Amino acid sequence: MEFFANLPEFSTVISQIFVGLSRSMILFMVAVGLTVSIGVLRVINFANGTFYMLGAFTAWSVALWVGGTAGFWVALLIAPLVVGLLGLAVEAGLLRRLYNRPRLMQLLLTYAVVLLFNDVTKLIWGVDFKSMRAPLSGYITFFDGLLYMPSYNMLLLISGPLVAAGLWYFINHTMTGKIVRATATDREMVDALGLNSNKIFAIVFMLSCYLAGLGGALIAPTTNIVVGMGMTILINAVLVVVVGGLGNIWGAFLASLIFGVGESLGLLIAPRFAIVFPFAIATILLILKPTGIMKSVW
Amino acid sequence: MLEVKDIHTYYGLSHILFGVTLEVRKGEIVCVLGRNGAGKTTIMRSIMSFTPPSQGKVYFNGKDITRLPVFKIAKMGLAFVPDNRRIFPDLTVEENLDIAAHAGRGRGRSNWNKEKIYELFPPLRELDCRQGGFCSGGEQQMLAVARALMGNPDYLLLDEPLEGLAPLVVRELVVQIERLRKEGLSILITEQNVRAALKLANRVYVIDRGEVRFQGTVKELEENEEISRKYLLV
Repeated sequence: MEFFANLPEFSTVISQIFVGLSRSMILFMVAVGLTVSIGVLRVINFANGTFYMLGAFTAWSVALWVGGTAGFWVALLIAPLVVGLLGLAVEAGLLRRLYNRPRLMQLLLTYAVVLLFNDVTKLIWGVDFKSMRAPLSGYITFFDGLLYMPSYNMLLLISGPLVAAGLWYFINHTMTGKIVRATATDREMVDALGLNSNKIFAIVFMLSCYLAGLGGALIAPTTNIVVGMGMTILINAVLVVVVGGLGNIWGAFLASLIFGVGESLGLLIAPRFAIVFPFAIATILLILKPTGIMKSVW
Repeated sequence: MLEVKDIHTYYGLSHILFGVTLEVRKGEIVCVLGRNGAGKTTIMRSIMSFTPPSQGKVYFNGKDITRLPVFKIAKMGLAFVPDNRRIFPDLTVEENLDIAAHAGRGRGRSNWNKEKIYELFPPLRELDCRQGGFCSGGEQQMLAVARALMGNPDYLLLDEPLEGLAPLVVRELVVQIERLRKEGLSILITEQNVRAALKLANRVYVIDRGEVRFQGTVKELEENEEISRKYLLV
């Protein structure tokens, strides 16, 4: 019985790490939206994966509509915005009514949104796989061929830290960000200062959907776009959020890295069991630190 | 003028306030005295509409504000300082003040800024980079009042501001509240600390079990021993 593949070459390991890192970035974009809505709204948004899926489908449509290489870039701009606005509609129209209800009600509502949007997606886009071409084709090599990866992965690798840094700046150094942090700990007091916390909630929810949509648009050229993709990533994102520490942006970033790289290295070491690796890592980390690797807001 | 007219307030099924009526005129410090559980905090929460009264009305400068959203009431110039202070623990002292100032942009006649706040509460100047959650009780109380002031309110609701503070800090805070009246603020204070509160107040209401049992000037209260003995534990 041989489930360990032959020992891989060093350069393969390096390349695989970078593949893992670029997957981490996508995972991060879904997880960070989830963690922010847990941290501020105290709502576990099951639909975040669905918004990711909608980001991918919308990007596919926009890219097709615009056409050419420009199509992808336009889609990258527009798709997350569309998804963000859709998120705003869900927050203002549905979720807002349930903030004072038991958490199970909110969970059920976001799950209902998942079912609803999955079926609407099937109505609009059909049930077949969709795929689109990456704007940057070919491979790039670094360090005399030690590192060899698709050029498109560079875009993913850059976008993750950019989003993380942008969010960090927004939360810590803008007025709205400061109010968001205040709202996360004491909503009533924010209202008492004369600030409309409903608006803050709406902004945060929209932002988290925007990020999920951005993740979806970014992954679109590298994968089969299909209705089930939202749930797959949501499960991993929930793990990332729990392991990273509920509501902690940096925790989500770190945990995404651990998961992405862990999974892709697992693929090298024991391909048949690759799917187990993220869960094994999560189990170990949670046994060591049940509240998550970074400070949890709950 | 802030007028509370015959309000009945419930927490769920429990009836807390039974027809409370009181008013705070412009430039006054009015004190609501009563034991723990008498309904003092509920009066504040009813005015701010955190827990809107199910019967009766609250008027602010003649406008009916009963059941308005909390943030709209705050925007009209009513600021609330809760008894447990509720400083935003993850924000620095300075950020706590910043968001309050942002909320109160261009409102009211008074013009509070950080410089003026630090002059009124000198210890806060040294603390401005510290996270609110790491400040002492006295510092948090100052910060809570300062935060309320940054929104340039006309009326200040102070819920047991002297509770749990060291005697020296109480004395300081009393002087500072006195100064706020001179700045033109009208203030409603609830307190159990009768002696310190009476130094400040123009008029007094005594409440017990959700009803007003006495109203009058400080002098009238001091002359009425029966009320003090029955409701105030002095």
